[in-house]
Parts: sequence; C-alpha cells; structure tokens
Amino acid sequence: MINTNEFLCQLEYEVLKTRSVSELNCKAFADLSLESRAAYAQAMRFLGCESVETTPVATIPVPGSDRVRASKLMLLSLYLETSSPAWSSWMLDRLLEAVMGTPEASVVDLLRALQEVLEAYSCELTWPVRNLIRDMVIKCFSEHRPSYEAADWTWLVLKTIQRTSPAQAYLAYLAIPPKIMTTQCAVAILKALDGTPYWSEAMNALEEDLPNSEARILNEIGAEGLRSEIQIGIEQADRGEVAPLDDQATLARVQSHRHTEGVG
Amino acid sequence: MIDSGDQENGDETIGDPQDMESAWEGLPDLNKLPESVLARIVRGDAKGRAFGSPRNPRMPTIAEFNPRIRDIRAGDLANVITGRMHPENAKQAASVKQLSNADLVRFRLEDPISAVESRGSLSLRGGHHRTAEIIRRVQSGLLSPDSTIKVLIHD
Repeated sequence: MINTNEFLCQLEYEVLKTRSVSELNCKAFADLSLESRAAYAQAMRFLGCESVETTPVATIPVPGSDRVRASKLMLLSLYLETSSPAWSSWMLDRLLEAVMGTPEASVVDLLRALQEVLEAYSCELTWPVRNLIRDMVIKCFSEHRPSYEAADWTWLVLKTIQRTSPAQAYLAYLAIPPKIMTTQCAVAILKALDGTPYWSEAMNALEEDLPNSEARILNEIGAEGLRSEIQIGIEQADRGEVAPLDDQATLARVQSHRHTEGVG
Repeated sequence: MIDSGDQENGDETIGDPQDMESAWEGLPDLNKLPESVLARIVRGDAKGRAFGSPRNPRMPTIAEFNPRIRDIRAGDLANVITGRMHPENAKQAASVKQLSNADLVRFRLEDPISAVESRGSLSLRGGHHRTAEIIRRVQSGLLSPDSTIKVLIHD
C-alpha cells in the first residue's frame, strides 16, 4: 500500500504539468487504501483514468477534506490556477457528476475547492475566472438544489469577512444564500470588488439581501462614499468586532459627509 | 450532451454546402430548450441577479431568454465572433477535432452554438470548441466557407 498524501502531492504536480494523470499513476491508484480509493476514484476517472473502478467503493464514508481535495485536482485540470481557465459545458457536466458521485458528496465540496484554489494560487478576477465561477454556482444551485439548500454556508461568510480577494469575493457574492448574508460580509465583498467591473452587479444584488435599514446604508453611501465606510467595516472586522453595524450612526456620518461636500 | 461528445471519425474532405443542409432537419423547436441552455442568459432579473442562482432561483422563461436562430456562413465566423467566455481547452479541442463536418455543424438543441448579438457581432455563450474547429477547417480548406452555421442568439 502506498502513502496517500505523497501520492496526491505527486498527482497534483502532474495535473498542474500535464492536466491529466499518467498511466503509471492510474495503475498506482489501485494500491491506495479502500477509503482513499473511495474518495478519489471519481476524480481519477474525470482526469482520464478509465481503468479506475468507481462502483465497488461507493459505500465507504469519505471525509469532507478528501472530497474537497479531489475537487481541487479536477479544477486544476481546467487550468484554473493560471487565471485563464479553459473548460466546456460538457466538461463541467462531467466534473459535477464526479463530485456528486463521491460518497457523502455535497455541492459545497466543489465550491469550497473553488474558493481554496482561488486563494492558494492568488487567482485574478479575469473574465474567464468570473465566468467559471458564475457557471459553477448556477450549475450547483440549479442542478443540485436540495444539496445546496441543505449545506451550511457559514464558513464562506466567515472566510469572506476574515480575508477575501476579488475572485473569492465574486464567488461569495454569488454563492452565499441571501438569508445568511450579513452586512459585514456584504461590505467585505464590495470592498474586494471595488475597482472591478462587477462592483455594481454585486451592489445591486446585495442590497436586496439585507434588512431595509442595512440596505439603506449601502444605498446611501454609494460608490464613492462606500470606500471610506468599507474601511471602517474592515477595520472593525480586523479588530474582531463582530457586532451588527450601527446603521443610524453610519447614516448620520454619511449624511454629514455629504452635507459638508455639498457646501464646499 | 456534446461539446465534444461524438468520437466518430468523419471524413476530412471539404463539405458540400448543399449536403450540409442535411445536418439539421427542419427548424428546431426553441420552446424545447433545456434549462442548461436557458442558464446561458446574460442578463439577470430587474435587479441584475443571475437566473438559477441563490438570489434568483428560477430559470428565465423562453420569452425572457428570447431565442432566435441566425444563419452564418462558416467563412464569416472568424470575423463575426468578437467575444468568448473562456479559452479553448486542449483536451476538448482534440475531442471535437474528431467530429465529421456534418456533426460539427449540426444544430444541437441540447447544446447549441449560442451567442449574444451586439451590432452584428457575436459574443459566444456556448459552442466555443466547435466554432474554433469550424474556423480552423475553413482556413485549412477542409470545410466549405459557404456552409451554413445555425447559431442560437439570445438575450
């Protein structure tokens, strides 16, 4: 039996280099433990190992960390780490089938893997990256809605508040269900998207998610004023102040700022 | 579903545009487009929220999708297509290369070549690898530039 972690590191290196798996590694896969084969069999098939059996191990429980790692391997085969991913609808269909064909799978596995690859490789929010994110979220949501709605997305809210890049923020804006979106998270998303072509799109959608008073803050602040307000929110988050935004105080600050600008 | 799919090996001779007419039989019924195609809509709802996403769970109606067919000469594709969603994937391109001319240009209701139109130019939403292969075959003389390509135009 071979060491699973070493094998997977080698596999990731190979996928990054060739976007597929060599015959040698396809054969070596058979020497992994039953649990590891259950976790990665679908991904190996997606990566071109047609000899890999998927059915006999389908009932073995698979930890979430392994399911996410398997999804990451598949995403890397699409050149995602280059910020210029290349895919087709047919490939995305097969990829999602592979993700959901793994025991105990959830659509979260794929979107978490996406989030982690965007971070690990500092992916930029290019046009193809934006399109892949959008296609994946819509596909996961529309084709596996029960799985999507049963999933816990709190990790993505917390991760976004903690630190987010423009690409990760675009994923968060699309993927986080409106019912769990918070003002702090919305502010972090808009801050990260500031200066990108997608700021307005996110702003329009996010203000709908929030309670009237909080949405009014986003609306009142507007594109220019938002920058300073976001900074306040981020600094609060950095200090670990997770209390709800003081909407009245914020409105007062913004209105006062506008009044001053108008007089000037 | 195919953007690659068929692995059949077609003859690599230039296609007669008349013969290519048999690549589709009658006009496709655009009322039967699957959700996976409707999801290609570019515009969102009134607030710009993407259809089929957590903030706007429903798919667009056929009327919102506003599908129509535009016939384009294969020889004009390279100039007409000005936008793409992503670059070609080498593996997928290799697979599409195996398609016969007839299969390559065949209109597929379940996965059509589709695009958004703006001032006569097309921004592709589906069929990236097929259109790239059509352009290559026209340039290398393997496909007649007069072949008609049916492109699904939508909002």
